[in-house]
Amino acid sequence: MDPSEVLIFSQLFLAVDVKHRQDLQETVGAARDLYDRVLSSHTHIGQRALEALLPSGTRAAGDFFAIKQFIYFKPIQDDHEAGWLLPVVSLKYDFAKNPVELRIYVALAQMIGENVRFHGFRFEAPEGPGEGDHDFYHVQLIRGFARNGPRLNPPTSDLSIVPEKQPSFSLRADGPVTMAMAFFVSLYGMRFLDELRKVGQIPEKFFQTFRTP
Amino acid sequence: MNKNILILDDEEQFQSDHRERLKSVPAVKNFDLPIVSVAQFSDDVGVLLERAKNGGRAPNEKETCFDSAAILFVDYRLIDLKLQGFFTGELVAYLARCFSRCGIIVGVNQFGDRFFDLSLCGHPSSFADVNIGAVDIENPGLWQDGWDGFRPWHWPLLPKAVEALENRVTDLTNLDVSLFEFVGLDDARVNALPRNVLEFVTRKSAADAPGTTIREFITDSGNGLNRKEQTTEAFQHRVAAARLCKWIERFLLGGQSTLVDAPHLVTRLPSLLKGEPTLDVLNATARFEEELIATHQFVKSNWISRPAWFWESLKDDNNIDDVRDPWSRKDVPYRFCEDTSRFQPPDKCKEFVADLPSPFTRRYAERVDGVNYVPELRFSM
Repeated sequence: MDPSEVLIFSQLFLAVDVKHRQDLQETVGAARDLYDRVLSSHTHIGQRALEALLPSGTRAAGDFFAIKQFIYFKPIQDDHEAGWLLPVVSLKYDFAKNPVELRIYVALAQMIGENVRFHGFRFEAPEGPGEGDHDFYHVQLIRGFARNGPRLNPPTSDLSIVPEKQPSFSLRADGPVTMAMAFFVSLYGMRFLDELRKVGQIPEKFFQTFRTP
Repeated sequence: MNKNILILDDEEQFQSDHRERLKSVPAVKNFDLPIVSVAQFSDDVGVLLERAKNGGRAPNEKETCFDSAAILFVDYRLIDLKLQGFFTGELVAYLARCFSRCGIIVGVNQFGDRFFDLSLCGHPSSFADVNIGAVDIENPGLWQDGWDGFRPWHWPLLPKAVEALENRVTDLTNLDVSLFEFVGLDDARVNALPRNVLEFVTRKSAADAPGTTIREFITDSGNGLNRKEQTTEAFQHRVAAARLCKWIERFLLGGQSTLVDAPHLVTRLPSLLKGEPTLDVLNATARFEEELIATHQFVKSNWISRPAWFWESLKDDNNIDDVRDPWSRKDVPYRFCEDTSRFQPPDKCKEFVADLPSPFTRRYAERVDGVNYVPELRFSM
């Protein structure tokens, strides 16, 4: 793995975190109700702690769930029935492994009636050299931030037993940086690439992956 | 323990007016209200200046009014004080804190006559332990439990604060110990602190910051003694007792993220309430003696003005119903108002966004008539 790409991956997450952290503080209304509600159970990781936990030249492996702190990104407004969705994110990575292990877990919090429910997904790098069911950049459903860990939803909820193995949706990515970009595009659409461009730390070559032929 | 309440200004009418009015506050009856002339005030500030120039001991040492003050109210504007240079109440607060045995210091009128700071930052750099407008010197909410109307939640109860300060001075047997260990913050908690929370107590790098001692905080951080000044060991203990407490109150508790107090805690985990979330039950948490849960409590009770708990460990405690089953949690139907220290129905509250190093910045105020809420743009549209 090219060490500079690992650093760009971290810079990308940090840049989006700074912007969205500020946006969340200014958020009001139903979206803020949702944020405050989820904060009671999922700690919003501080900026300093995030910098320390993201991959770097000296940190090849990490698991955010081990410290039970989460990255929050700005809420997404769906239609009037679904309301707001708030992305709560955890990362697990090991860049010393071959193939590289990289997992972005996201739980989209949503108010359903008076209750919070989560729609969980994991974005993952290929898990093998090419023959396996998941040997490509992909997205799957999840029941919790860790296998055999606490569930995102109550046991009585249908969402607590979503299928975790298949389907495995193919992702337009060819490395950690494009995987992270694909993750953000999945949440916020192609226009988010313009926001990422403003960050100025992502070389143009990574944007090529998302150019429609 | 000192029993004197001093009200100091550069004109004596201010002092006599407030002395008279304070006599009607029941909790003040246990204190004395001596008259201090402007001349004596001026002379005694001169002694503090001599102490400051001479490492905490003046060449012609004498007892000052500050040394016998349990509570010092000092007006910010001291332009008529006959001393060299431009004196402010903030400078007097610094001198009294670092070079006298003064008890609790209340800065008066530095930030307005009757104001509510919507940033909730609480002026941590001020050497006054609390800053108020002159009209609130006699506010019962500053003196005793049970109040009505304007009463910012971060205010301490002054009689309790006087006692707690002296207990803290006694607690501090050694200033050369780890500040964070003394406060009860392990490495994980220190590493989770935002930069500006750490910066208040240390100028060291992130790697070295956890080793900061209490003495280094008061001598090197810039938020204790001015860096070119020295004071006696006894005065250093008093500086540490006051400034460290302010850091805990304003930075660890103010954000309700490292530490959380009872009214903010029960809005997140209502199952801790003893009963249904009625106004009476909720308002019972907005007192200074609340005992919701024994575990995770910040045990240095003299170092904080109200009971508080470590949020990070508490929120993962499966003995709490709302932690074990977060999905069934029912929202509290009232909001806690930071300006009146009580719960109110949502339609009586105005939402604002505080400027705190914490995700818990959404707060509420009742908006009391006659109070200046600043900066007003922090109110939500």
